[in-house]
This record gives sequence, C-alpha cells and structure tokens, in this order.
Amino acid sequence: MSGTTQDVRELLGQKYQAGFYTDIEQEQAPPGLNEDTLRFISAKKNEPSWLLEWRLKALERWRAMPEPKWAHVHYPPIDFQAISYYAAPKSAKDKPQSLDEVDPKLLETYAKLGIPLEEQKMLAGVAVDVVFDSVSVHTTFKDKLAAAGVIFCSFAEAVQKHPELVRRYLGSVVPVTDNYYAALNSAVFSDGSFVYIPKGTRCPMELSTYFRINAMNSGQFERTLIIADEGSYVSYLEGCTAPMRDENQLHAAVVELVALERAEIKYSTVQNWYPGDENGVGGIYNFVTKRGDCRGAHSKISWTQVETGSAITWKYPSCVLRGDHSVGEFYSVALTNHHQQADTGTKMVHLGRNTRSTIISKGISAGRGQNAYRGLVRIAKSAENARNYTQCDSLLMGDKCGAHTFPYIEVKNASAKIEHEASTSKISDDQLFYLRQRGIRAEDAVNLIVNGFCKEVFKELPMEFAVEAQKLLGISLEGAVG
Amino acid sequence: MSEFIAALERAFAPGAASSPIGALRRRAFETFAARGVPSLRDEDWKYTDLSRVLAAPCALSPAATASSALPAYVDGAARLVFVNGVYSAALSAAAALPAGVTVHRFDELATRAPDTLAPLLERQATGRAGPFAALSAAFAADGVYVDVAADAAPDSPLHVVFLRTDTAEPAFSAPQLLVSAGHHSRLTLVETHAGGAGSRVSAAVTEIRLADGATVDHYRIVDEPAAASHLGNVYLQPGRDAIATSWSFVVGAGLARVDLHAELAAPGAAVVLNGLFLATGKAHVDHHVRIDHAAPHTTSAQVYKGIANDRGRGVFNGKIVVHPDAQKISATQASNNLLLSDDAEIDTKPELEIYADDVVCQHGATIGRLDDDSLFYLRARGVPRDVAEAMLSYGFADEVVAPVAVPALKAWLEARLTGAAIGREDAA
Repeated sequence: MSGTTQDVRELLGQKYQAGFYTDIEQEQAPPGLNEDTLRFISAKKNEPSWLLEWRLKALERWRAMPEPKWAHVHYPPIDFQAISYYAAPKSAKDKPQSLDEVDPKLLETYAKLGIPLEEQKMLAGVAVDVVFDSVSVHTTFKDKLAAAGVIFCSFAEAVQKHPELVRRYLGSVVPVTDNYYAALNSAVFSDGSFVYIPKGTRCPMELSTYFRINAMNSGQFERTLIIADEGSYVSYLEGCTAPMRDENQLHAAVVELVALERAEIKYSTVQNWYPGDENGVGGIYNFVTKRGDCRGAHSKISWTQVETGSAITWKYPSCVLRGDHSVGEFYSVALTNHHQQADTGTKMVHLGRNTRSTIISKGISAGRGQNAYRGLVRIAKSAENARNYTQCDSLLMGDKCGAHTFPYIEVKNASAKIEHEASTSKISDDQLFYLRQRGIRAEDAVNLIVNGFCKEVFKELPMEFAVEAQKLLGISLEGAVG
Repeated sequence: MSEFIAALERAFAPGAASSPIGALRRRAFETFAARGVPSLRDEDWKYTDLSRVLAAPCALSPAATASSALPAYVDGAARLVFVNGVYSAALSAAAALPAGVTVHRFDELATRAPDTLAPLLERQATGRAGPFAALSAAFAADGVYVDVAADAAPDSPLHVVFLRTDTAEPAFSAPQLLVSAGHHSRLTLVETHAGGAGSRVSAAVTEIRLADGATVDHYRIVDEPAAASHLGNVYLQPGRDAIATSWSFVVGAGLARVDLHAELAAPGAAVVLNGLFLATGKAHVDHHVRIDHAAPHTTSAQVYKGIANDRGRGVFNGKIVVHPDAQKISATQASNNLLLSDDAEIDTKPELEIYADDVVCQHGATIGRLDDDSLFYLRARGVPRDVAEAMLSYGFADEVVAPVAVPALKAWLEARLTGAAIGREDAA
C-alpha cells in the first residue's frame, strides 16, 4: 500500500512532458498594441486594404470594451501593451514545399512531441496544417484535397487566394464586437486555418492542425474559418501542446464554423497547453471564442473537446441553430489539476424549427483546480419543437478543489422539450474498494473509473484523438486519489 | 436617482437619529439608495425588469384597519393580521395564540425595547440580504417578531396575514415577519400576502432562525392582484440538527420576486425548500434561491415547479454553495416547468458552486409542455381539452401541493390550481 502511495505521489507531481523550447530565430513585432502594430502585421502578410480596415475597426471597438470579469476565474491583470502581437519563424519567408526544406529544428520539435510529420503523412487520412507560432509552416496532403475541391490552407494564404470567400464569411459567425477577446483577435489575428468544403463533397480525410505556442512574450491569435457548403461533410481535429515557460502567455483564438444546408462539421479538440507548475506559476491563458452557425436546414455542427491544459481556460464552443431541423452537439471533458482554472461550456441557440441539441459535459477537478461549466440553452419563439438534453457531471478529487455549474436555460416556445441534469460527487469509496480488492492498483482503479466517467465524450472523438485523450487524462490524474 | 426612490425619500420618517432604530433605518435607507433599483445588467436581476414597475413614484400605504375578507384557509385559526402594514386587532385572533408562542410587534418594540429590535433588523440594513430587504428595514413601521419558547410544540398553525386595501394611487409597504424558534421547538407558520386591488409595491422580509433541534414548517402564499409588485425576501438559519422547511406559493401578483436564502452553519442542519408558481396573464414570477452549506453534515433539498400560461413568465435561479471544508453534504435541487402557451416564457438557472469534495450534489431542470400522449389518452376518453389540460397540470403541481400539512390551505391551493390551469377567472 505504502509503495503504491509513493508511486501515486510521484505521478501526481509529474512534470509537463511536452515542455521544452526550440530556439529558432524569430521575426518579432515590438511589444505593444496600436494602429501601427496592425499595419505591421497587415503589411507582413501583404493583406488587402479591406482586411486592414477591418482590423483597425476591430481595434477601435476593442478599446471601447471593458475587460470581462464574469467568468469564475482569477488572474492578475493582463498588460496588453507588453505583448508582442506578431512572431514568425524566419525560415517561413520562402515557404518550404517539402519536409526537406523545413527547418530541421522544427522537425526536431515535432519529433520530441512524438508527432513527426513524416509519420503523420502516413497516418490514415490525416493531413496536418502545422501552425508554429504565427505562420503556417507546412501543409500536407494539399494535392489530394485539391482534387476533391477542398480548400485547406493557412488563413493568410486564403486571404491571398480566396479573398471573396474570406470576405464573405469572416466575422459572420463571431462578429468583431462579440466579446472583448474576439475583438482583440479580430484586430491582431496572425494566422490560422481556412477550410472550404464544396457542395456535396465529403472531405476525403480528417483535417488536423497542431498548434504550438513557442516564442517568448508572443500571444498567439489564430483565426480559423471553416465553411461547409451544401451537403458536405468535414471532420476537423485540433490538438495543442506548448513548451514549458514561466511567464503567462495569452492565447485568444477565434474559430468560426459555417454549415450550409445538409452540411455537417465535426470539430474535435485536444488541448494540452502548459498548465503552469504545481504551484500555479506560469501556464497559458486560453481565452477562446468558438462558434458554429448551422445556417442551412438539416445542417449539423458537433464540438468535442478534451481540455487538460492551460492555466486558465475560458471557452464556450457554441452552436447557432438557425436552419430548420439543424443539430448542435457539445461533448466536453475538462480537467483541472494543481492551480488550473477552467470556465467552459457551450451555448445552444435554437432559432429554427425542429432543432435539436445535446450537451454532455464532464468536469474533473483535482488538487486546487477550479472547474466551472457555464452553458446557455436558448429556445427562441420561432423554434417550434426544439429539443435539448443537457448533462453535466463533475468529479472531485481532493478537498481543495472546486466544481461549479452555471447553466442558463431560456425558453420562449411552449413546444420545446428541455432537460438538464447535473451531479457533483467524488469517486465513490465503494467503487474504489471494489477494484482494489480485486488486486487493481489504486491509480489504475482511479484511471478506470475516470475513463468510464468520460466515456460518453471519448467515444465522440476520432480514434487517434481518443487514444491521446485517454493518455493525457491518465498522466494528469493518476494518483489524484491516493 | 429614480422618481421611485426620490418619492420614498420624501416620505421617509425614520424617527430620531439618536435612537438605535432611527439610526438603523437611516442606514438601511442609505444602503438601498446607494444600491439603487437593480437593472437587467445585474446578474441577479438578469431576467426580471423592475424599470417599469418601479419607475413611478409610490406613496406609503395609508393606515387602515378594515379590509377585504381574509383568505378562506385562515378562518378560525390563530392569526395576526396586518392591514397596509399596520396591525389590525379587529381582524386578528391573538387571544388564540398557541401556548409557548409570544408575539412582539415592531411598533411596541421600537418604543419599549429598541435594543431588542435593532439587532433583529441588522442583517437587512447592511444590504447583505439585497436592496429590497434594506428598503423594507428602513420602512417597516409595524412588523411582527414571533418568539417560540424552547420545547414548545403548538399543534395548530400560526397565521400571519398581510392584507392591503384597495388603492387608487401606487402605494408602498414593508411587511416584516421575524421568527425565533427555541431549542427543540416545533412551529407551523402560514404567511399570506393578499388583498385589495390597485397598484402597489411590497418589500416583504421573513427571517426564521432556529435554535438547535428546532423544526419550523413555513408556508408562504403570495396572492396579490395583477397590478401588484411583490418583492419578497426569506432568510432561514437553522441551528444544529434543526430542520427548516419553507414553501413558496405564488399564485398571484403582476410581478413577484422571492429571494430565499438558507445558511446552514451548524452540523446536522437541514432545509427543505419547495415552491410552486402560476404565471398567468402577464404575470412575472421570479424565485431566487441561495443555499450556503457552511458546515459539514448539512442537507438541503429543493423542488420548484412553475406553470406559465398566456403571456406569463417564470424565472428560477437556484444556487447551492458548498463552502471549503464543508464535507458530507447532500444537496438536491429540481426546477420543473410547464409552458402552456407559446407566448409564455421560462428562464431557469440551477447553479452549483462546490469547494469541498465529499459531497453529493445534484440538480435537474426540465421545461416543456403537457405530454401529447397523455392529452390524447384523456381526449380519447371524452375528456374535454381544457379539463384534460387542467388535470395534467394539476398532476404536475401536485408533487408540491400534496405534502402541505395544513388541510385548509391544501384544499384552497388545490381549488386554486385547478381553476387557474383552465384559465377560469371565476374558479377557486
């Protein structure tokens, strides 16, 4: 028993495994945020003037907005003038066409992470658009996608090559003024991914982006825009790790999804950014706006997320169910250990008739972690026969952690059927005892129970992600009960 | 400053600043005026818009002794009746008070024992109980303080009725009911807010403090006219192994907001909070519940049911807070709502804030209309649609009404529910 407890302690105090720092020469904007910063970014990216105007307008609106304080998280004030808003690996200037041309140090980084591009290329059907800090370095499988008519490229490239699409959809789901961090992102976004699936096309492979935050003091502000045209389907994977660092880093991304008639978008995230050390020093501030718009009838948007990293997570992937018969889904596992704080959840806004939504949220708190589910289900007067089912469960490990639930439910149509249930408890002693007396070690028993707790969410993840997610949870949680 | 506050300030007569009560009232009013009328931007008032009902200036309710008839369920029982905030000896049956129950009126306490009254109002004056409790403390001219002796267990309920007369002008009053239940005592308390027609605002406060092992069953009925705005505030503080049960029935009022707060600060303390509201016509009914589990081994259970018809709107906000180191907690909460019209609206927000790990906390919320299959079953057997709907809504509400242990009150509620569900004004 004592030996087991020892193991458990060691595991609980585990260091962040993906924590290392690659020394690459950066071309960096001086810290500070003003009109000139935007002009610098815009010029660097050779952007058309309408986009610069859009950025400038966003900055103007952002300045007038108060910093939001309502989330159940605590952190020292952020000095937005101390952040550098643009950092690009130098070698990206002349974009490499193959792996040979990629900076070997970059490749080394990925090798350390266990995701060498070479192997990834081989992985069944996965194309990777790697964002290393702010500029897309390498995009694979482009040709195969191009044959299907799928556009999958960096945001900057899309601005150059498909300005009409970008201009039409950018900001149409998350308006510039949506919230403080969305406005900030709209002003300074550096790069990101752009996906367009043409009419009636089933994307031939799962699209994936790995994000890494690497440069000192450079907030990363991705912008992702995915458009699924009528009758199309796409599954998009987003996964992140970040090197160990002592200074808090701000990450304020915006993700916009547009699903037209009968289109389906499946968006999966495994987020494992540096959470800070066991004393709560360092770690990423992850303030993200993600929203999908089910614009057409019979469209579907599904969010799945596994959030194990970041010092602070502030994220509500949402669905606007505008089209009749549209479907929104949200599956989430959020884990907070040590001093991590998470305020995450979703919004389901039902506007169309016969719209349906499902919310499954699993929160796990350990150590001194604070984990909040915050959700909104709104049934508008026009949403005849809307249906929502919400389940949010919290698991507590340790007597210093916290689990909170703030669900808002607003119903303006009598035909709606809304169910919400939530529960909070610790791992039951009976379950642990049952497993222990069958000779299963304490941490394995906890792992089993936690995996069972999260199963409903994991089964929504694509296979490779499900494996990674289980591993992540195992690392972060084994031994939280000793 | 809004006209509403300005008019009240003009009418404000707190008494000498040198007396503890005068000083407290001044402080309470300052608390309220500094806070102002909450707006929709306040998280706690997100769904309840006071700007319309608290825009016009309000006079203080005129003193009156006669009023419309007492609610049927009060007949013959031991009762204290206040008309427009002033004690009415004629309508009360104070002689029939159960043994062990002593009643003090604010009116007499303020002159005879101001040092007893001031601490009783302290919590309200600080603003901790919200702006309208502070407003109530500032203006409560004549409330009632009920003291139940240790081990007393009266077998009949005590009724406290706050009636209003018909008023032509908007009028304001501040009913107050404070209860202190002694060691191992038992009390059944029925509090009613009802009465005549006319526009009005009530800022009502009920505080019940239970000594160790005491049990209080508290029924609170709001049955006011459509022009009335009721701002109620209920505070429960059970001691060790004490059990406080509080039922909130809101069957009338244009706007009713009831804030309930239970503080469980001693091991073994338990609260049971149940509620039922009917929002018909253009009524807006808002229940805000907060339960603080501040001590280990405490228990809370809540069931709130709402029925919204016509253009009615129901709001429920329930928050359970489990404080650090408050282990071995059990807390459950259910918010079930029935929408009977496409113009009606329900907004519900069941919250959990948990800082301890050895807890079992659950909440559930449902919103929907009557089940089509059940309706079809009844219609197929020749039951007219309105009766079928009434039967099903009644069945929905019965979970909260059936356990009511005061037979006359239960009968009255049942009749009222059946009528209201069919939308017949003449029913009940």
